[in-house]
Amino acid sequence: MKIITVVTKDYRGLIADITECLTENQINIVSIDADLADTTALVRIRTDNNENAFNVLNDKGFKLVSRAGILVKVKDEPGALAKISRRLAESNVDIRGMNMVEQHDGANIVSISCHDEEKAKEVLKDILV
Amino acid sequence: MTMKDYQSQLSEFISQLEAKTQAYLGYPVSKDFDYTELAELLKYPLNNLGDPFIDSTWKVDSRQFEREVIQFFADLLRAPENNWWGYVTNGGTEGNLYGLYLAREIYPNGICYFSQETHYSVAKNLHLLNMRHIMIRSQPNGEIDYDDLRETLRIHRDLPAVIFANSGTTMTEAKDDITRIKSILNEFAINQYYIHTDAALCGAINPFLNPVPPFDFSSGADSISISGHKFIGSPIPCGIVIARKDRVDRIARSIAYIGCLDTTITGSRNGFTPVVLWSAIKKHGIEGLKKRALHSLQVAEYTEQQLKSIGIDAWRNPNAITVVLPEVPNSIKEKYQLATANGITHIICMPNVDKVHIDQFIADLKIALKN
Repeated sequence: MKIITVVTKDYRGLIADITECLTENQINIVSIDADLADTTALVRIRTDNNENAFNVLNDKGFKLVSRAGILVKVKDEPGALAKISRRLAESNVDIRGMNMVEQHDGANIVSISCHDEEKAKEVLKDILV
Repeated sequence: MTMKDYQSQLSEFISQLEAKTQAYLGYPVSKDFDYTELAELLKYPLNNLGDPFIDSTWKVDSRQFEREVIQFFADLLRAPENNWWGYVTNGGTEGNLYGLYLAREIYPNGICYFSQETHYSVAKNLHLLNMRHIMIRSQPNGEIDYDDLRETLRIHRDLPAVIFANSGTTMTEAKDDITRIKSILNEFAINQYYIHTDAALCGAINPFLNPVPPFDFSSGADSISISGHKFIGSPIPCGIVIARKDRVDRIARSIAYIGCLDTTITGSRNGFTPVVLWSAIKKHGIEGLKKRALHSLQVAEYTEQQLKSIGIDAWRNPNAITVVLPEVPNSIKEKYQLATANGITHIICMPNVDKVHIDQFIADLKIALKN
């Protein structure tokens, strides 16, 4: 596990909450950077003990992604994931796994792993986060 | 370490356990059991090595008890006559792993579909088995969203479908309707499919409900996993997995190639817990288990009413023993060991929970809300 990504609805104090949680558990942050996609925050963290960091952040209730894969944002409605499946299938990209990571404000953040990640990114470039 | 230190450390641990076992309401674990008469068995290296239905040269086992337990649950879950197989597992997760393992061996290129309310261990199992998977939305009550499933299956109709259904989700005790799921599979003429039901808590409750929820073999399940330490109660985690024998035989044939006919996951298996489960079913019988289920339902109904009477927006799924309520103050969470996720918490009315416990909880909650 090289990088942990926290996926959450953005709010004031988010970074403070994350860093406080890690500090309280004596975990050193090597790097931290954040992106914002509408109201969704993606905070990428590298620490000196990622296993432990994953556990403590998870216990704190943060939604986390640790494995390789791509993240996309779709409407939170029936059939939204099916549309992604169709786009990937039509481009001959084989899905290995598709998991919902976080839902808020009518949006659904989905983590996708597939055989050809680069191609998947190209196919889904309009909804990548 | 002196014997005195040893005894004092153990005594302290037992006192702590006693205190911690007193108040919990948030976990689906029964504590109204007494198996002290089985303590004698702890003198023996019981090991139910391998398949419970195949004789072994190792004789220090309890496999005759295990077979009786499996037969009991096969009947309860309406398994097809002479076409079932199973064993006593280390808990619900092993049973789920087994069901998914069977599915993967039968349909190696299949995709597993499961709802977002599915227990976290399933993602772990899918990772272990390297199975392709797609998570499906859940409805607000926790049940799988059939429209989302339909749309997703429509796109992958050319591939075998492995359905991981829940009969009692962790937070809201929602139950997926496998009859409805089967009709969606039929709609797209998907003939290659496998349905596993995770009935960790409700497998020992559902058979006594009216109507019986569509979750068992008569509704189309290929395998079902139940926890033994949840509704039934056991001092050691355990469970039961039962699968259609024709499904198991398919993998037994492939395992024969490596010179082994043991289709269980672990090989060496607990010989004590099958006797625990045997003891429970002998003591309770069908009528006793039914009485426990009905008691829990009554207490759950009472809990919902009491919470509503103090202005708490409580609710529960039909015939559920789990009452869902908005997140409560930390002091209450701590005292009653209540799990919380996404702003909701729950009280699980296990058979040991009585109205008096709920009255105490309501009184404590009222005070905490005032502060």
